[in-house]
Amino acid sequence: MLKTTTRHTPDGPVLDVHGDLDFHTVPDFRKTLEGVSLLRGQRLVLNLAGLRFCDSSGITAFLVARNLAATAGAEVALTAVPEPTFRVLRLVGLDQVFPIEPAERAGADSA
Amino acid sequence: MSPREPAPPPQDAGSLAEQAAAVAPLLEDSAEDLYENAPCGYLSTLMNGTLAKVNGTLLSWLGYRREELVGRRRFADLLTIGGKLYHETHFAPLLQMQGEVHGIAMELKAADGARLPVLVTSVVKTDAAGEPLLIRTTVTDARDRRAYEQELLRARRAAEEAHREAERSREHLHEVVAVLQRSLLPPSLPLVPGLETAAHYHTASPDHLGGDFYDLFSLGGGRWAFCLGDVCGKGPEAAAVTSLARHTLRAAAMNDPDPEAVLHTLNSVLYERYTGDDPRYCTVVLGLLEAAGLRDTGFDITLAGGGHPPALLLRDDGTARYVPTPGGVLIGILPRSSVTVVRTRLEPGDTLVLYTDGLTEARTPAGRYGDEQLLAHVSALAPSGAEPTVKALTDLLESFGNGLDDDTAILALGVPARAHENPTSSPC
Repeated sequence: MLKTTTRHTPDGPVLDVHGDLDFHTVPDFRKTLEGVSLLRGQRLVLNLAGLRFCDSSGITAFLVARNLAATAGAEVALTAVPEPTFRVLRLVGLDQVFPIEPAERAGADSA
Repeated sequence: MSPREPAPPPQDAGSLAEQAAAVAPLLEDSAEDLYENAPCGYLSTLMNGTLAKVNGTLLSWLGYRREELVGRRRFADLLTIGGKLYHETHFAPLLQMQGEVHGIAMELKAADGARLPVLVTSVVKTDAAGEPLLIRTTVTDARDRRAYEQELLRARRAAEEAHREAERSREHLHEVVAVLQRSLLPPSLPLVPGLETAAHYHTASPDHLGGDFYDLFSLGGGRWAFCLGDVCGKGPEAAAVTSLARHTLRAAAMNDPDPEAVLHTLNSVLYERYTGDDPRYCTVVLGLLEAAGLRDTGFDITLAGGGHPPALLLRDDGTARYVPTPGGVLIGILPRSSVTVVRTRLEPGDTLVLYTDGLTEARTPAGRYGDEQLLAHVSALAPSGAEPTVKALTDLLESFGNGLDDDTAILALGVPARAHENPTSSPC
């Protein structure tokens, strides 16, 4: 099960991810990502505080987000990454690729 | 006001009888007419089966005139050959034993040869002394019922055929998947002098091509390259990437065996081929084996990793540890790969184990299996050669049962332990 809600902040959209990112849920998540409008210079934040499980399909989805953002001239950050997912990100070296923030920055409240 | 009072509700036997008497003439005025034109066939036969009486309904169904049947034919003559046999072997004996037989499905043969599916019920009429006199038979038209049954049968046969077709397609798919899967792995590991090798591949589903791969090949001059990796995703798209990755690694290693250079090449190939919303990447450990020169003295190993779980090293002294390649990033996602290289040595009695994360990500009652448990498991094995180590890990995979939902590849390279000095053995 996966539920994603999108918020808009002055810095860019925030996706709150709740549930599992796996083989079954990632196709929908990718559709959500593709529907997010990103402007040049904005930052897309994936808020993973509600993420319960993430497998390699989820990792691919993060990379899709990164590629979509790069195409728009924007960037992607992960925030509130749960420990198991952080271990995987570190194992595959993505901690060097994604800005990872402990929690949402100030000013990222609902618009 | 109505000139006649409505009939009072029936309250006694007298009024019921009056009502019945009132409607009787409308329903049946003749028992003979009821017999002749009943909505079912009636016939009576002598005890030897000769037809004694047949009603008009049955005659019209069969297209016979009364005089063609009565006194001339037996009931069994009206049946098909199969029906005759059944009548002879089952129906008649049962009737003789029980005095009645109910609702037997048979086929009657009409005068024009057409077949009429019917349900037959027969009762033996006896005299006051209990001696059988004749057989009374009712014949009910079962064409609708037969058509319905045949429709059911036809639908069942169609469903069975569709099921068989689906099974055939599934078997064909499994064959195709198995053939392609084998093409992604070396048919057998080459013989490397002074090295024991063993590998295992677990496919999560016979319906899907796995994305894990391994390889071991000669670079000439006493050097060998080995690799093990995991391509993201499953299915034909992942298999295509797996094939590309494996062959790119081989070709690149032939050109320049430096593991870092090989992984950079693979990274460039994947990065350029797959971008945008279809990123394809893999995790890989690639190693270079260089025989130290003299027999039984082991191998120098150069390992490079790109986002892959760390290799395990089981030492001759009974210890085990991870050989991490920290800092390496998934191959294929960045324009310029970040690869780390480590060097180690395989001494006699040492075994290096490469594996994919299907092993550590397996679900157990206590959660994911994990790195720590794996290290504890192989520490208990050490020292252990390539073959027994892979066997032990294969057993471990099997113990996960349904908890193992990903493909898993395992490759072990071990240097045989030195034969221990045995003072009682005679020199050869």
